[in-house]
Amino acid sequence: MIDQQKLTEIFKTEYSNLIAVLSNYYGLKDLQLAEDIVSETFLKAMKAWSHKGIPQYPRAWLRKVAQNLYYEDYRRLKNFKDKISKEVANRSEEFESIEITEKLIEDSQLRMIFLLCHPELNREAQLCIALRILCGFSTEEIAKALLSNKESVNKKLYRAKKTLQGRISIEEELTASDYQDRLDNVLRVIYLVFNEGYYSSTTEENIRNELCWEAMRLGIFLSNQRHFEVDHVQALIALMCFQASRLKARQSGGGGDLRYDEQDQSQWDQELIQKGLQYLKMASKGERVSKYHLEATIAFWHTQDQEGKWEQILMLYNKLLTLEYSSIIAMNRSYALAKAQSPHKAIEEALKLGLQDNVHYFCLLAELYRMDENIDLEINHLNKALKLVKKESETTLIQRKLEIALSKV
Amino acid sequence: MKDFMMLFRSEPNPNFEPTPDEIEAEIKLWMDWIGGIGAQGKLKNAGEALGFEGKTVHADGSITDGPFAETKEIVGGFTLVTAKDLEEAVALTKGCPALDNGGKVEVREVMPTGDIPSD
Repeated sequence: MIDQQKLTEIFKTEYSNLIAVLSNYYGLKDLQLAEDIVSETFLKAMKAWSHKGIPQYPRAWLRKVAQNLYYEDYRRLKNFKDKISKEVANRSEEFESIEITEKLIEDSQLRMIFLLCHPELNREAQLCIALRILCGFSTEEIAKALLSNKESVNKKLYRAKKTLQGRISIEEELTASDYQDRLDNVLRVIYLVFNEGYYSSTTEENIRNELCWEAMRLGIFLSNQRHFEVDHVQALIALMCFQASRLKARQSGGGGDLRYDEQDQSQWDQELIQKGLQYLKMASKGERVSKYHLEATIAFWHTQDQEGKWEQILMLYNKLLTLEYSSIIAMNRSYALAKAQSPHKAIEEALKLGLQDNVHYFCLLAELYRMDENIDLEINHLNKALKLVKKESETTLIQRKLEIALSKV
Repeated sequence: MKDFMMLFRSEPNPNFEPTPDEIEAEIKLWMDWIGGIGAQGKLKNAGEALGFEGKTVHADGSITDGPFAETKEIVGGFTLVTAKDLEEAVALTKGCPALDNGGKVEVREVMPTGDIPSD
């Protein structure tokens, strides 16, 4: 029998490899053609392998078949054009025979990452296209990972491809400065994929964790490149390592997510923490401090259990806010302020945040009032949060807190 | 929203030589205050602190020592914030460490550039 898990794994990684290479020849406007060829390749593999099992070199097998399919397709097209137009015949010698090598795959992947992470795509479209083309996720898998449905994912993919068609050309040669200019957005997309895995409320742990590992894989791939400064990439990898070190501890509760202070610290993955430290050290050799450096250092302190850590974390959040604002950073800073100074002081500042339509804002205030031992206001804010909450898992969490608070009255 | 510049004015004390710990504590106070403004999404630019040393160039071409003209007070630094109006900008100065040291905070609206619409 055929090993399904191994098959899925091969298809997934080879999908993005083959698409990246074929797109060099088809161009992004015909991304669909490249996708069709890869699908056909996989179909052939399924047929051929279902009896005899997976061959010894499955990737080489797939690459060879894809090469042949591309060549057939090319001949068909040429034939067609020759018959209609003689002009085309003159250009028909342009065919480059392709040989899919590791080097070609790596170069193509890199280009693909930088072309696809386009600032004009919105968050959802960017996630869909990155998961499909860079991570080889099927439409079903994307739908599961993003808590969406197939139709909606297909629509988003279609629109994303349309947007890209008009904006970029795969023939475009990327210069060293292009790489440097676009790196910020590439890192944003990788972090987006990671966070979707880390914070999404899908109950399927495997899919969720997989998003995290995929983001880390892309990060490590980028950190091995030589076209741009990689210190920000290394900082992002460090950040992801520190965060991911708590994945297992978070999921060990049975009933869903365990909060940071509820986790069993012995379950934190020390190997990932050490890896994170290595990357953070490498990242510190760069000249500029990016938000990833700051966030990675914050994440590092969260893996530590020592005196004075909240003062450090507060200071880092303060610095982070001088680089950019986000409501999440603002709320996390309030929590750090409560830990480092006092809940009272944190409440005073949190009331100024002005995030009245954010359910997490009311959860934060409730938590700060709990720390300040003001049960009435804690209950009051949990109720406000309940009015705004949409996700089922969060509703359960808030209700649980409310019950605990009410039992103390 | 409009931009406002906060100018921190104080009289420098030449005899004050803070220890590294005191400097660190002072920086922490400033960062806590700046972070509070940032958390409200109202920080435009954290700005800079200015050193005590300086020279002043006059219209007649002469140059004098020190950044201060007539008063002993000097500008020690600046921060740019965004706020709805002057009143809101003034409210943001609450807790500014400059005020604890007997200094002053001057809040001034940044004039919008004519041809670029401000949002």
